Amino acid sequence: MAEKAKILIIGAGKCGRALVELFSKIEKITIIGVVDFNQDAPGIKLAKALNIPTAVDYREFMNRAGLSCIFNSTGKAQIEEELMLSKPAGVEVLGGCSVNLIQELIEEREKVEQQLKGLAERRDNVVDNIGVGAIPINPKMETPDFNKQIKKDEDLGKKDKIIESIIQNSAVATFVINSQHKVLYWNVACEELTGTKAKDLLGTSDHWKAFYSYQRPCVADIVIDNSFVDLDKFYKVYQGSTLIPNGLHAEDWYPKLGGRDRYIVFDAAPIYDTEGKLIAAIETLQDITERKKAEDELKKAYTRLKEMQNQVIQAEKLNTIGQLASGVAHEVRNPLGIILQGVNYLENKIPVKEGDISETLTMLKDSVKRADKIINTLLDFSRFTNLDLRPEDINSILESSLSLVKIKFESKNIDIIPEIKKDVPKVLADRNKLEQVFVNIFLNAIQAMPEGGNITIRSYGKKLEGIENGTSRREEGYFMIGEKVVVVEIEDTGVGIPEENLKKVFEPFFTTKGSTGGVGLGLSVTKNIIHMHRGIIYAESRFGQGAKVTVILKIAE
Amino acid sequence: MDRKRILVIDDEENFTKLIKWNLEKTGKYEIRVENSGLLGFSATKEFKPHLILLDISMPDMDGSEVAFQLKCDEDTKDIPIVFLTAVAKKEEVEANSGIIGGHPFIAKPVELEQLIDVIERNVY
Ligand SMILES: Nc1ncnc2c1ncn2[C@@H]1O[C@H](COP(=O)(O)OP(=O)(O)O)[C@@H](O)[C@H]1O
Ligand SMILES: [Mg+2]
Repeated sequence: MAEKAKILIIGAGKCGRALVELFSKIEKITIIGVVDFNQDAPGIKLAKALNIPTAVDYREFMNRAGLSCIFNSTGKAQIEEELMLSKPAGVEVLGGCSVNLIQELIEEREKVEQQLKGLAERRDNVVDNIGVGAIPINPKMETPDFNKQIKKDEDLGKKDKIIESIIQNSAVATFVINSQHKVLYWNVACEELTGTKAKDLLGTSDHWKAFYSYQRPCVADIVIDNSFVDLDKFYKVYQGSTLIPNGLHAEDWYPKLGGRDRYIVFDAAPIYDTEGKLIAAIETLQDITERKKAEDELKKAYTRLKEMQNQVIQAEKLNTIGQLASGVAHEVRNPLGIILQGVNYLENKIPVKEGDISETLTMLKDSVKRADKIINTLLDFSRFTNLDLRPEDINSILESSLSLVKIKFESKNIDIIPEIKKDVPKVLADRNKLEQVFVNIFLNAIQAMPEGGNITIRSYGKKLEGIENGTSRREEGYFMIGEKVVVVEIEDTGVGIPEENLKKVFEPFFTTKGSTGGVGLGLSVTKNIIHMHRGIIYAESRFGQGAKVTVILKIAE
Repeated sequence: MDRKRILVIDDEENFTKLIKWNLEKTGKYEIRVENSGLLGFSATKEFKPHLILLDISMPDMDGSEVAFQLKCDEDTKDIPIVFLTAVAKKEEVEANSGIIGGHPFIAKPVELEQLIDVIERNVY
């Protein structure tokens, strides 16, 4: 068997506890630890009961060999960022919404399992010798033996009316097969979901036709045969039921099921007779297509965001080399300039070119040029020479940046207020780089509002009237008064930036988030990208009342 | 013909000294040198140069700041400025047709011949 996947769960609240419960039952997964500063948290209690190690600080588990995935159920973005930066290479960090989604799925399944159990109990009261799973059996009442019934097709009509109506009227798509894999029940919800009629299936073993184009087992068949090997062949996602012994859970995509693509969750449970003999299996089907799609979208956005964070770090490394290179360039080229002027001076001083003197001067000049070339190569390494500039719609860039950080603000209490002008002129921009800019600005705004708040996004075109507050002289040179520009403002209602820091926030490694893992690179990269676009960026704030970041960009002619 | 007045503002004293010698030797220019942005700025009003050679990175007041101040002043706003810098690449200068922030631009180290060429194209 393949090696077990080792996971770490951070946060042991309601969601963390659900994760512990879920993963502790999956054979292929080992929980190496559960972490919460509150050692009375429900997940910690459960972990202790299950003999899973617990701790107050996740660092205790971080460098365990074989750790493959960390679930952050704390919902705290700061912890997530801290994890992203400190995790060993190759370890996945799942957090925020992906974890919430898992919990939602668990709750949803519990509901269905409750329903199933309720169904079983009700049936148990009316039918004496049929039990679902481990439910005890009452031997007094008349026995509708499924196998006997099925042996004679004409007996089908005499199936117990009560069971039939319970199954038939359930809103959950449900079918039942007997131990010979013949269909006993196929309810209305099931007809609706699969588009296959009960009358075409009852008494046959053709139920696979409702789902597949070739003959293969459904989860109910697997439960009947009690053959839980090779399930990988049939399902990408499956696991033993967490509620019913010998039950099975699976899920998958089904193209064109009942007329459209659906993501279906299957649950099957065995049904035993009085002697404990397996006589049938019940299978329920749930269409969770919409949720699955939303989940996939989120996962995609999450992956993009992670990529982006890596890019930021990468860009900053280049940027540091860049600053080093310009420092070296300055220090070396100035003396080179003096030498070259000195050589020029001597050339003019010696009107009659004497052989060896003029040869010496040429050697000096060649050497200056060689040194200069080396500096040039160094600068080459450091410059983002490959901006991919195209005319772009700033609103669509804002929109896609926003969707990348959606996960972050949706879990907090943050409202987005768009004040976007429709007919903003196109800007000349590198789309990916600008997305990085706005993602950084949005993340900062979100982090500045731990208790929630508003982010107002404005975009508009205007004629540049004068020098904007807080721009540097260098930026001043990028524009002419009267030039048409596009302005983007992102304003939050967070903690704000004290006056003395308004310029500093753009310096590399300036951060006030030391304790929560801020590295202070976001805005310095952001400013660099804006300068590469020959644009302006500055911050304004009244401390305690939120901050506003303004970006001014050239329009595409 | 009158010699053109050129103001050289650069904090590298050896550089400005040699530039002064070299340019004056041509007989076409009258050179004044200042080794700080601040002094260069105040010298402009009294020297009334036909052109300013302006280093970008200087400790007290950097070249772009000086240029900005000059642009704000009615008396000096029309004086052509040629930036000098050690940190731009030659290709970048060319890619911008030798213009950054609205001003022509020379990367150090520069040959006398090229320097004179740029001055001649911008002085009036
Ligand atoms: N919207 C904002 N509200 C308040 N402070 C901010 C905001 N954006 C940036 N800052 C301040 O600027 C600093 C630097 O930001 P940044 O460069 O993105 O690095 P980091 O977010 O890693 O700290 C932050 O630590 C914070 O103090
Ligand atoms: Mg940041």
